[in-house]
Amino acid sequence: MARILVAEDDADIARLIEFQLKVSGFEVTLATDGAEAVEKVKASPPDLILIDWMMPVMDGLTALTHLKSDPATERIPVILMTAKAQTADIRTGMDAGAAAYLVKPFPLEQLISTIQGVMA
Amino acid sequence: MRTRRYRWDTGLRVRVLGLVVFLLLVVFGLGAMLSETFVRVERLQERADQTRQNMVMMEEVTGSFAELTSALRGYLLSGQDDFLNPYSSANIRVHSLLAQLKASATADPAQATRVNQIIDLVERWQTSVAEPEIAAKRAGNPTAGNLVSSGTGLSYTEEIRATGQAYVSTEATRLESELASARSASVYMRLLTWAGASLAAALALIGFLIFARGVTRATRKLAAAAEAIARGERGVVIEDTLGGELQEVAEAFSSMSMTLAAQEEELTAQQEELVAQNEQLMAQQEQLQERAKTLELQDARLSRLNRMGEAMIGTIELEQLGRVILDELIDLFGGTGGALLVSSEYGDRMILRVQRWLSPRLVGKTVPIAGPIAQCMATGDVILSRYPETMTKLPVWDTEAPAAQEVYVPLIHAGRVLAVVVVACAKSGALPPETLGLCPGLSRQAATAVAAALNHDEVRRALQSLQEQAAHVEELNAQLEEERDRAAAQLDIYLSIVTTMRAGAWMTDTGGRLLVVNDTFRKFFGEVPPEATMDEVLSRVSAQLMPNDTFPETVRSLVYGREGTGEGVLRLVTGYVLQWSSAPVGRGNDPVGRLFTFQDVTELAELDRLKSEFVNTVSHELRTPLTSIMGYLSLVVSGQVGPLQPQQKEFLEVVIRNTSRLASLINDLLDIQRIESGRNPVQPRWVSLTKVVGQAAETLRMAAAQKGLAFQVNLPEQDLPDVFADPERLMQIATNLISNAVKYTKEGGVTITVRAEGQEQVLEVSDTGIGIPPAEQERIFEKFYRGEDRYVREVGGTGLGLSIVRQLVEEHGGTVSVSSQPGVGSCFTVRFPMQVPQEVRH
Repeated sequence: MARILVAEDDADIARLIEFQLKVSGFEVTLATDGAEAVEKVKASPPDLILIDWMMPVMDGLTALTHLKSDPATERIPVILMTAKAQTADIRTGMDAGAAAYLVKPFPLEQLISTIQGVMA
Repeated sequence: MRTRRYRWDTGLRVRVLGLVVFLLLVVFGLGAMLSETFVRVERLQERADQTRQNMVMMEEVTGSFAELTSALRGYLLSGQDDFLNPYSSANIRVHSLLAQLKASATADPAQATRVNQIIDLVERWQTSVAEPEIAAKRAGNPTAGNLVSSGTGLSYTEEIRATGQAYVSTEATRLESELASARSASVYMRLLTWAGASLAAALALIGFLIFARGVTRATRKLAAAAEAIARGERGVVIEDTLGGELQEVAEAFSSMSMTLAAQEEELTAQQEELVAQNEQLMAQQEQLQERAKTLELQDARLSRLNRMGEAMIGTIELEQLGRVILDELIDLFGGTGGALLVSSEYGDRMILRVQRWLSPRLVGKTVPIAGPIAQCMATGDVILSRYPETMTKLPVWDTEAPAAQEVYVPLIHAGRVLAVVVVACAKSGALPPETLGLCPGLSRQAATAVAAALNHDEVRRALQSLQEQAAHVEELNAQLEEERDRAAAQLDIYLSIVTTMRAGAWMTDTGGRLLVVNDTFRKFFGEVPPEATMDEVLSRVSAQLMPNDTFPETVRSLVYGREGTGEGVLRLVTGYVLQWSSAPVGRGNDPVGRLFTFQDVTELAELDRLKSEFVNTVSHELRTPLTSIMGYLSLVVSGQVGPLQPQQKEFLEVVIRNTSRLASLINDLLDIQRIESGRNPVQPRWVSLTKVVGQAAETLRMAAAQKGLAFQVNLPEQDLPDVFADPERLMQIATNLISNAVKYTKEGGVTITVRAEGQEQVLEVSDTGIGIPPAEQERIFEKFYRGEDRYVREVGGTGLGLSIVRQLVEEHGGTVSVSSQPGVGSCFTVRFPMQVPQEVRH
């Protein structure tokens, strides 16, 4: 069973995603900020990382950069979720190494299809 | 005499004897007088010869002096040393002639004085005119030649000529008187001969008469003898038949008669000799007359030479000189017109420089060196050429009566034919020898002057060309000065604008040296010394900048690059935020310097920062709850948390649709606000359109897959050249078009193509969607315009996507167009120019 780490500071959204992913048959680990996410990924590397951009302590983009610069974690695909919908932001995210970019708000079907697309 | 044998009357004897003695005395006296006269005639002849010689020498003196002056003039005009050779030879000739004249003139004090006077004049002319002039010319004194041409030189020349003429005329007068004396002496001699003969005859008659009175017997015979003698018979001898004294008388008479006859024969012979001598004298007189005529011609020649020399004094222009020479030669040959031909730069042709009485149109024309001209140049002789045998004529003789004959006179200087004078004559025929005799002198003098004039001509042409060049240079200078003034005036205007403007300003010349900074600049960067170098100013500017700011390098490349503009933002350590811009000042490609302005945007930057923070916050704060709403709604609708009534499900779907509409409205509003505020200018760089479109397509691939649409991306296999564009905006264009295509397509697929087409790169997004009715195709790019189609309304949107696309495409100098058929599909085509568009270039 594929394991997904979800880093999201908003508890409502974290729960929503966790629910949907579990329903779709994934194993889910949660983190509430970027630093925690990096820690958990290093402790136990997941198959995919779903990370919010704007988070306290360490934002998602910084965490993404950290992960991509570490040889142990650089191969794990990362999907960036964010309310930053401007094209400049999308480019920044893609350039940092994100496999996909989900603009909030997004329908749950899009979340699942994006994850399937990235993992395929 | 046999007087002793016959008794003679003493008285008769004495008388006869006395008579005879007297007769002999008379005859001998006459003989002595004749021989004395003969000697006198011979002496007269000798003196006449001497006089003639003196005259000739004096002519030569004046002639040589004329050559002396013309040679000097030639040297002074030309400055060439070879003119001094004729000058020296003429000088020696003058002096030797004058020495001879002085030796022969000792008999006549008046003539001796004249000769001395001429010697003195020549000496003075040389010491006070000729030598100083030569010295002045050698020293390069420009006034050289003034003395010769001025009154001083001319008065010497004139005085020498006048004295020479006085001498010649006195000698001529003397010659006349000597000839007259010789003539009268010869007449006297003839008279004397006749007188002697007559006297002898008379005395013989008287003797006879005396004898006859005393001797009657012999009267008849004596009478007959006397008659015979009277008839002119000589050697009459009385026959011996008389006897006695008479016989003696008769014998004496006979003897006397014989003597008379012998003497008469002698006298006759002498007379014949005298006649012959007289004839010789006459012949000599004729010779003398002829010589006098020649002298007259020589005088004419001298006066011609003098006339031409005088006319040529001070004439250095070839045209003026040519007229003088032509007039003289036309007059000499009795011509109707003439022309001066000068060697031209074309070796085989001569150029006609001066004409007289022909046609002004001839001047400047060239004549081939052929026929009589060639002959004249080859031989150096005067050539006569008669029509119609002439093969080569001048192009047009414009005289009414065509010339019957042309005379070609070569002007030879320093062994070279410089020019040829052609004189047209109305009458043909050989030239008289005296005319031909004048030619060499005239042509020599003319050649000297023409040589000098040609030299002068060349110098004048060179000078003229120099003057023209100088004028041209002056003109260029004036233009340059004018341009400099204009640039300076322009600079003044710029400087006054700079010092009074509110933004900080720094102006440099093209080499970076400080022209001016204003007070605002000093407020930002501190005091700057006047005329500071660019490095001095930049060191002060750098001190105010954040570390690692590249502004100084940017400034250097702008100043040394001379062209182009630049702009940007500077943050100073003092907290100022400055918007700088730079542009060259001056006209077109000729800048006089460069201006940097620094606008204080500290407050604006702070506002901007606050605003973007606000926008970020708002978008985050709005989207986060929207994400929850949407997520949980879709979770509920999907039935994963429990079954729903169909109506409940339908209503919840409406909520979901409007929630996503709200989300995209937020995005579009933020985009359009950003573009329209102009706060975020286009920042183009070289970027691959293929790569950007590929990225945009990937972000939307999922959305298409979710709707079950085919999603085809056709990117070129070979790399296309980069386009000069803002990558963010390219991304937005591609994203908007692709997301629209996905949104309005229910089934089928979306195809994205990038390709090069001529000088453009093309992005094509086509779909098999609902299509756009032709009536709406124009309006879809308008802001907030939404299609009438029910499905469009259902899908939802802000009506801003395509208007943003068009705005961004046009900002990049591109075009966007649509072709569509309702129910079949749409195809949006964007064309970007591959060159750098003018309006986005720095």
